[in-house]
Amino acid sequence: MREYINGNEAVARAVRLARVDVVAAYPITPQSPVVEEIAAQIASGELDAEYIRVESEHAALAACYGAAVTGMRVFTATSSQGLAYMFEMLHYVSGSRVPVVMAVANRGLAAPWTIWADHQDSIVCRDTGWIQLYVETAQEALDTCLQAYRIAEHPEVLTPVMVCLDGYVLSHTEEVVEIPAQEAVDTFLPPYKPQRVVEPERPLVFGVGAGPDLYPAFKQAQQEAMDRAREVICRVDEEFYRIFGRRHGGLVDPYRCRDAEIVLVTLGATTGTAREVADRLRQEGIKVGVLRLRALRPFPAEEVRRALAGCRVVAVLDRNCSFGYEGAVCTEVKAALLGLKEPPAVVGFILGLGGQDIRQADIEDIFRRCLAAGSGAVHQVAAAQSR
Amino acid sequence: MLPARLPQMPEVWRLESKPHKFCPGCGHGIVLKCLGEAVEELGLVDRTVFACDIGCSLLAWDFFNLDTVQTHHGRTLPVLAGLKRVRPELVVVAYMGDGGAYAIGAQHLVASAGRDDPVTVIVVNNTVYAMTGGQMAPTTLPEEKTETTPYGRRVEENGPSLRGPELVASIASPGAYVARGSVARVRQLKGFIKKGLRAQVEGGHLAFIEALSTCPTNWRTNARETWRFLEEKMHKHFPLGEYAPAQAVREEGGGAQPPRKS
Ligand SMILES: Cc1ncc(C[n+]2csc(CCOP(=O)(O)OP(=O)(O)O)c2C)c(N)n1
Ligand code: SF4
Ligand SMILES: [Mg+2]
Repeated sequence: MREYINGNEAVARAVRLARVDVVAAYPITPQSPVVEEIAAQIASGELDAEYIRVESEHAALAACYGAAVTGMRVFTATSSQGLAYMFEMLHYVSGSRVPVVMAVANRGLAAPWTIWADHQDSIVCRDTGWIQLYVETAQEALDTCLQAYRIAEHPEVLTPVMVCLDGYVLSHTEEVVEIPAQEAVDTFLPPYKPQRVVEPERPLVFGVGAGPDLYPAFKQAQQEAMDRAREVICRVDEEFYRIFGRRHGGLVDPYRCRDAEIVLVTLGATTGTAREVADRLRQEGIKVGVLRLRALRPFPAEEVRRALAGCRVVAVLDRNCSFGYEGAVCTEVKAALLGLKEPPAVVGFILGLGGQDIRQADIEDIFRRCLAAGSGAVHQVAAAQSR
Repeated sequence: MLPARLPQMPEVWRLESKPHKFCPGCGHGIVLKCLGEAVEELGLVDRTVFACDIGCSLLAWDFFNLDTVQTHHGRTLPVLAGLKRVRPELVVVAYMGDGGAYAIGAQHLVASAGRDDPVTVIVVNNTVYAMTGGQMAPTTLPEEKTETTPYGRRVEENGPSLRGPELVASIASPGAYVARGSVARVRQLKGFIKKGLRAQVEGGHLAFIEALSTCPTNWRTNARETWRFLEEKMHKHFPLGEYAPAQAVREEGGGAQPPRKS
């Protein structure tokens, strides 16, 4: 069935289709419609789940954690300040290896106060031990939430997943979305069969205290699970394709990169704009491509290296800033290219902070500036264009 | 553009920011008018700091000709506790919603009451998270419909509606001032706010005033229905008046007693 819905509604549909057992959330713009829609689905009986109207995001994720250690399938969603307020729990959930799935409607962080989109909120959480997938459309938001449970609950992974969608551009913008049939989703995503749960008959301790002798082993296990997640993310996307006829690139989503001289690396919804510009420049004979990172954690270093190895200049579009250095994605891309025999020049652009529109003209400007850049020189333009 | 003849407003109102940003029929403006007049009448204009929470209260960030701090959601009280500790001569007003005060900021309210921070707290209770579109708040009345309780708040699932002044009175120190007013009783509300400012300035105590308020936008009510909901439903569930701190009652009368309504 096809519906004309926005990204938030698409996420809520996925939560229903995934037969989530427990939802705990606190409202925040631009995420609120997700939790309102879920509340409506539960109230009308469409979704048989517990909905805990908690007092804060910290409590939301704590409640999700509590429900998840009993083996329930849980969901929460937030944005910006709310995600920041969850920070402590983010580590707790990932360290305890419970497969929570969370949607993040990306929004900038205060101060100054903003409700508009950028990626600062989730980018600063990239070291929390969560898998991070950035989607480009409402359709992908729905599909990725379903995939997220398969990834998170995979016994080789057991790591929580953040599905990040740009605030407003995706969360509040309607598009035609194919809603998968429940039976097909049930085939793709069977009920969660946890291996370790809180059960009085077989006592277990979640969240043990670990001294220096034990702690590193836990962290090593997390890191290894993330490494395994790379393959699982790709396999799940392929399996999704076999059932539903749609796939989203697994870890990375390259566009006209193969023979490109200049490639722009993007996250999220801006990618569509970038592709249009790329098509136009291609008509002029300028060889440009776009590489969308779907996964930021685990970082697809191999795939990035492969996609970018042949080009002369890599431009990285960051909707975030790691203050005192550069856009965070730029740093990661540079690191991935290290050791290549003839590494491309990498130029970083920080754009679209706090909802600043990223227009076709801006992206064209990026491509043209890179065209003029000399080969081999790795430098950084860490400033938003002023207008 | 301002009309040629202005209705009487406290001088402390910043006229450039008027007309204010609240929806028509919103109670926030009435509470702020009471506060502005109270600050003026007590001669506190040049030493008052106004702090607003996130919620529709944030729309008041440029409301007054007063030093103003806009804090993050729920955290207004610790911000003011810090400010007041180093500038005790200032008069500090925390202006927040029921969500900021009783949900995400509840721990801070409890801690401030426990420390008896000399802060005047005004909580605008409109029974919803208004700024985010009208979801259920701790104060949402039983059976009240909100965006997250589309068929009404079920008490069995979400508990009864929280009564803030009663909560604060049960833990506040002797000398603290606790009251509940309503935008439907303007003179009384202003009196409570004045007493609340005095409790801070003269007594060095916490003052907590809840103001029952209206949110026609999220209630989806017309003028008459709005007022009816306030005066009939909210006034009944949230009794107006002053609430003596339980510890004061205990010291006077000995033994634990429920907070006394005066
Ligand atoms: C940490 C955090 N979580 C959530 C939000 C989103 N948010 C902004 S205002 C608000 C609720 C406001 O309700 P209330 O305090 O009752 O004030 P009102 O708008 O009703 O006056 C919420 C949940 C936020 N800004 N920060
Ligand atoms: S949404 Fe409600 S509380 Fe906020 S300004 Fe409008 S009427 Fe007032
Ligand atoms: Mg409110």
